[in-house]
Amino acid sequence: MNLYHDYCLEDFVLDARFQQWVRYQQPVDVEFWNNYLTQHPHQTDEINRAKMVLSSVYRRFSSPISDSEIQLEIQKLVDKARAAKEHQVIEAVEETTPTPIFSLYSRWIWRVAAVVVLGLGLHFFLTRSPQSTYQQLTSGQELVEKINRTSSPQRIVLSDGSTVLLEPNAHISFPASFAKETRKVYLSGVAFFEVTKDAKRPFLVYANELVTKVLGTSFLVNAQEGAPKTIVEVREGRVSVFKTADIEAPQNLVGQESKGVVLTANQKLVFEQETNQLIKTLSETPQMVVNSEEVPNFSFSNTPVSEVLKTLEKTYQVDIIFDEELLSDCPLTATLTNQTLYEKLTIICEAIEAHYEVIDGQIVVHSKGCK
Amino acid sequence: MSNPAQNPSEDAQLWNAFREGDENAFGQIAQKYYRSLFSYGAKFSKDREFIKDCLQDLFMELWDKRETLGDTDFVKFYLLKSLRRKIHRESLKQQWLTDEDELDFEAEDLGELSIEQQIIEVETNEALLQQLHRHLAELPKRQQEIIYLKFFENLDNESIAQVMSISRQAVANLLYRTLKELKEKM
Repeated sequence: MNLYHDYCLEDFVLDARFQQWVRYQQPVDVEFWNNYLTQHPHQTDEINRAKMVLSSVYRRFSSPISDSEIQLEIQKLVDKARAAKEHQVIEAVEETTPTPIFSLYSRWIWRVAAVVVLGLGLHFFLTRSPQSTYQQLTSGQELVEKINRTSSPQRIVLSDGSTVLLEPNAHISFPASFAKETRKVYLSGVAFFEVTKDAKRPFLVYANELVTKVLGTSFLVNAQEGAPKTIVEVREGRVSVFKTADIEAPQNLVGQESKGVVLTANQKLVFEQETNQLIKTLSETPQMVVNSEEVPNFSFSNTPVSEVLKTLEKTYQVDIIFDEELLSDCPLTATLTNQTLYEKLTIICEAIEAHYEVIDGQIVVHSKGCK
Repeated sequence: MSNPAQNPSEDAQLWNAFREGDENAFGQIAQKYYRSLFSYGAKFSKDREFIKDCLQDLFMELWDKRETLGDTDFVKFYLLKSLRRKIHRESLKQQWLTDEDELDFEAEDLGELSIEQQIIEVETNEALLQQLHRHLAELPKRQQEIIYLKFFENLDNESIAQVMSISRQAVANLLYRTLKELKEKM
């Protein structure tokens, strides 16, 4: 049965399958229509003209936007959705304020969703100083201090247009107007920041013994109250984190870059108070950092493990260190679609009697080869 | 450009995950419609950042409403319609438009051709394509928008009518007239 035998130009241009062929040139459609043309040469003219009409439409109305541009927007959305979920309490309060949360002001605001919990680590508190870090940092400076003594979050607008939602019992100090070079705020407690973009003046959050500096996109700072660890975790983009002691050294900020730790996608930084060390590692649940259409199917059949690991490296944008020559002799047949990155690695390693470890934010695979 | 062929059951699964508050599913859904919506929005404003902001707002509204949303069937239609309304409202707010003004549907001047278009170029007659292209540009705005929604977004006449707030019959008539005109110009 030939659905198309009496089609004319109008019918063709309105046909979904025909449109798909002209627009996307998928092999299956190309084959279908080429066959059709061969079998029905009398319709060649109608088909070619219909194709021309559609081509000109697609050409006229396309609006170029790059995949990476889209990806950036999607990441912003996912981060906002996640932040909204994690901070439902805060959001509920925001909704009652007259400013709409997602007003068009967001075009000027670089939203950085960050929760900073400044825990007064007991160990640190007892052994190093009779004062809290916050008190030390802020004393002697001319700062405005806001303390939320109410039982609901309070919104504070900083001089650069950035806003801070201060949770109950949190303290924040900042200059009435920011300095020319940097925008520093000091925090004790929990707060949610929306930071206005200003490439020339980095925004610095002093929290616990760490300073988080915004370089690229969104990030999360999380220091559990009373816990011996302070954690900064990056989903996408880059931030740099410094020990307060380093950033406050006599040299200026710019000269101190090297002492900071730059975190990229799926990396996290743990600060241990006991050892005073910054440990760079990987997120506990690394997320894929590619467009959904670029996600590989992770279905391998006699694929060299070296290839498999390269696929993982690319998809999760993490560094995997392995002996390429050795592992190219290790074939793997497995479907690894639904596992987390670590589960995938465990399966791969079991298959080839290898093991892996995470060192300095990288994955190292140890193997004796498969020969 | 993504392959438009989608597995319906995967779609439904994704949609359900999104409604249950899975932000990654939300991201995938946004990803699926983003290019198409951006493209539509860009016909009403040349300010790319403005369109992106409108889309951020639009998707976050979708996220906020996730628990009360119905099935996936009408998502695209709903998003296109909401985007058009949002751009109109924001344009009024920014005083780019007055109350009486309609939104102007206008394709931007073409820069470089995308790969998708280059493939088409190789296989078609360039001169005729140019000619058609000019005719399209000369069509009344409304007819252009209908053509766009029909061929770019694959909406049916009923949905086009609702997105543009005109009658279904008007859509059908205008579509017919436009195709006829284009055909005559060839």
